[in-house]
Amino acid sequence: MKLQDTLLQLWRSATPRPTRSVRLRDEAFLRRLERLALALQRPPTGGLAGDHRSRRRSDAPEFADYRTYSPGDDFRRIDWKAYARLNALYYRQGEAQDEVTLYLLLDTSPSMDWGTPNKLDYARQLAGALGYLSLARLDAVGVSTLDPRAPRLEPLRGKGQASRLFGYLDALATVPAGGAVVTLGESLRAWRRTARRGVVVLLTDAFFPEDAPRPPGDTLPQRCAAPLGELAGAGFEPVLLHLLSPQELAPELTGDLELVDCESGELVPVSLTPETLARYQARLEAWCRELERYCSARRITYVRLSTATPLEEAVLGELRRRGLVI
Amino acid sequence: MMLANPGGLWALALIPLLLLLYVLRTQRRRMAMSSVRLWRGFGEELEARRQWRPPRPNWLLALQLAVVVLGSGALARPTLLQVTGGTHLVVVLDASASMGATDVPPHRFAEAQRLALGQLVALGPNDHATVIRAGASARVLAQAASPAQARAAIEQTSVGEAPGDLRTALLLANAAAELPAGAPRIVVYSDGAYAPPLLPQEPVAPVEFVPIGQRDDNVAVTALALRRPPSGGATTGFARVVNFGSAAVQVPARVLVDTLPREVRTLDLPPGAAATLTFTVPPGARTVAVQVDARDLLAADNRAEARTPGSGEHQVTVVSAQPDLLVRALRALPGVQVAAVRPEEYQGARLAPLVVFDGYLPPALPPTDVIVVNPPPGGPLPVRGTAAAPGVLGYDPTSPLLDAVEPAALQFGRLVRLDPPAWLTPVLWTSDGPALLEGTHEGRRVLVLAFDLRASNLPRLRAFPLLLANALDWLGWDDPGGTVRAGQPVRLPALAAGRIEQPGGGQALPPGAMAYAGTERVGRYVVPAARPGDPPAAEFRVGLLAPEESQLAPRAQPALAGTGPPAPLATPALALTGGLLLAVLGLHVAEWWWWAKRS
Repeated sequence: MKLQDTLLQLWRSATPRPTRSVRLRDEAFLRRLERLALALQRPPTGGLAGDHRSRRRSDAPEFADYRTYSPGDDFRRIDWKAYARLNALYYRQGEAQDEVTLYLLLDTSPSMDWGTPNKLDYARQLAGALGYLSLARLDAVGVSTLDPRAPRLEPLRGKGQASRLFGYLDALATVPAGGAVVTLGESLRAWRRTARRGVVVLLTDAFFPEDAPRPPGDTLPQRCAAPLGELAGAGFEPVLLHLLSPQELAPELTGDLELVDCESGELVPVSLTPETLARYQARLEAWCRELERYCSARRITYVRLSTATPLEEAVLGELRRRGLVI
Repeated sequence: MMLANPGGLWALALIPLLLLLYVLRTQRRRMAMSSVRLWRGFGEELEARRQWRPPRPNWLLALQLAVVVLGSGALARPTLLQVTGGTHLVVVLDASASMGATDVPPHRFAEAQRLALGQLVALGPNDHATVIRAGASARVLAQAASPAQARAAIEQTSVGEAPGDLRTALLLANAAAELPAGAPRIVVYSDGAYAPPLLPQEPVAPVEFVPIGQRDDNVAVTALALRRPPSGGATTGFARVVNFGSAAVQVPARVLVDTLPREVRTLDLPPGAAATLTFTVPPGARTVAVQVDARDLLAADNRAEARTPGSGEHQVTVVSAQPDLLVRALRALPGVQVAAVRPEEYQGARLAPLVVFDGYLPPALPPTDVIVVNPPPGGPLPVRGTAAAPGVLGYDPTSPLLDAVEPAALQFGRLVRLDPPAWLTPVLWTSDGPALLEGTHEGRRVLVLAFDLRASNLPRLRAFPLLLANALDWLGWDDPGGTVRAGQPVRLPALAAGRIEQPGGGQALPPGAMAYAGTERVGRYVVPAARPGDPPAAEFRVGLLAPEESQLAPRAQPALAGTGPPAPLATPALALTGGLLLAVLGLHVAEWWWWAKRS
């Protein structure tokens, strides 16, 4: 493995990757982002006042519900017309507007630093766009990576904090290959301990390391989506943005190759023919479909994106179609 | 279709090599991937680990195979043959002695030339002609040449005075007829005065025989031999004169000794009859000639000449401290004159064409034929020592040196052990090394008797003079009967170089010539000595002595080949090499494009 790691390091040092800045300079795109908002499957139930309908009731003027009068209630909100008809006191409740905390979790494993366009660059751009539109909607935006040792960006509020958001994303670096193996479940469990409930957007290629042999019946999609299911169970609203590069979706390789896993250094010799490539693509498609099915069963939003998709089209088109933003 | 270079098709052997390159795997390229988990477990993975794989259909392979096939075709230089009206006339001119008969003035060969030239006149500019002269040896004078070149070749050749080799000439004609120079047609101009030739098994083209000659008047000396009785006494001559004509003749026959008339007899010869002349050669005569003064059609066979045996023309120098044994044995051989030289007088001595060294060798062998007896150490032959009384282990029974010699009777008292150089071949060997060796070194013939003559029983055996006589024969000093038949090769003495004077002019001899085969003219042949004043290095007399050539009656020949319609006329129409090379270039471009597209 050491030899393979050395090879990988050599390969990485020999192929420097230009990093694209996350900062969004297209004013028109920013204006359009400001008109968008996160679409929540479950309304928030507390927190600071925000821009999202809450399950919490308040004294807001917008009618939301009735409840029976309790002593101490402001009798100005008693519905006297109802008392005249029903001879009972009903208290008129208003609809609360709460903020939503958007957590952007970026996978910075070496497998993300791959492809053209680069998956990590694309993830940072996408996270920047989602974070900006949330800040513009008075939501809180926190960013962190799946690496528990990496610094986090605690939730920010207000559009004025966008530069901090972009600065954090710009500074993100990949985890070096051969580092400590941290599974998705471990990462999310560690992260959850310090997070409030909110929307969790995980930007990843779903190529997570395997810490142990898979038990019978355990499939790759299960292994990826199960930790997200735990998040949903804990009150979070998880979203899986599955990023794949065009070279992964439709590889243009031929001949005899020795494929090197850029995370584990594992070598797999293959003889690539059109038939082999077709089988690979069928396997990839089945994997993605199973992942999507598993997510939908647990009310996890799943969106598959190719990094070849322009950012605007991804946010304004694909994410809107999938109901992640409105 | 004809291939000018069929060996080019060997390049097709590259096809298996090319397939091997596709069967064997090269070093796999290493390619980093984001994850290999989706690539695991393919059936191809196992196959990819093997060092070979079955070749798959591949455009690149197909293009490369096509390049090899077309390139091989280009190397073979194919030519597309096209049926045209061209003709390839193959003319075979019989240039044997009988074609010198004058019944068709000026002689038959001139008539054959005239008829052949008449055939050439009918050829057009697209036609070709091959001219083959069937003399003592068959030669191609012009091959698939233009009519003008063929005309010049026919005009420049002449008739010989030797039996013709028509069989080889017909084989050459058959081969020439296969050339893509037009519809082949073989025409043989001959008087039929030859033994029936063995024709090619499958003649390519019909062979037409054009008979030349009308009459048969000819009287010839068909044999001449001079013999000296083994018991001694006068040399006797035998000659045979034959009347090959169809009319009885009466001809005077003269015997000339050293060009002087010795005897004249008148021979009455009925048609087909032969007369034998027997005469005695006076002592001291060097040459004897028999000549018939007949007014017949062929002069070449009217005279035969021979050198008398023992005419003292073979000079031998014996270099020995005790030359008596060798001198006595050599002098007993007919025609051998021996001069003895002591080793200390060797430097500056006048050497004969054959030098016999006994117990002595100079630092370098002289430029003559050499017989070495009992070679001493320190000479040009590497001597390792001596061995006492070795027994004969074996011998080469096919060697002419041991003709009539019984090797088992030989006893060697002292054998000189040699490390024979590569050019020496053992003929008789003992338990301690070879005792008799022969070889040719730098143009000279060398015979080695690696034993002490006086310590052996050889001088007391009848085998001694026989061995020496065989050695002289092996050295080319034999001339049985004293005559050479026209067309027969003659062995030359060692290092005979310069020129050979022959009837009709001189001819250069290349250095190291061992034999001379240009004996196509009747008469005297002389190789002058290197030093003026010395006796000639070689001298011999050539006579026709070929009854089949003297029989001049025109003979009808059986069909030399199956007649029939001429073969389809074929001439080279289009050389395909250029097109194939262009195709190879095009395929290379396609291969490059395909490769660039893939990479």
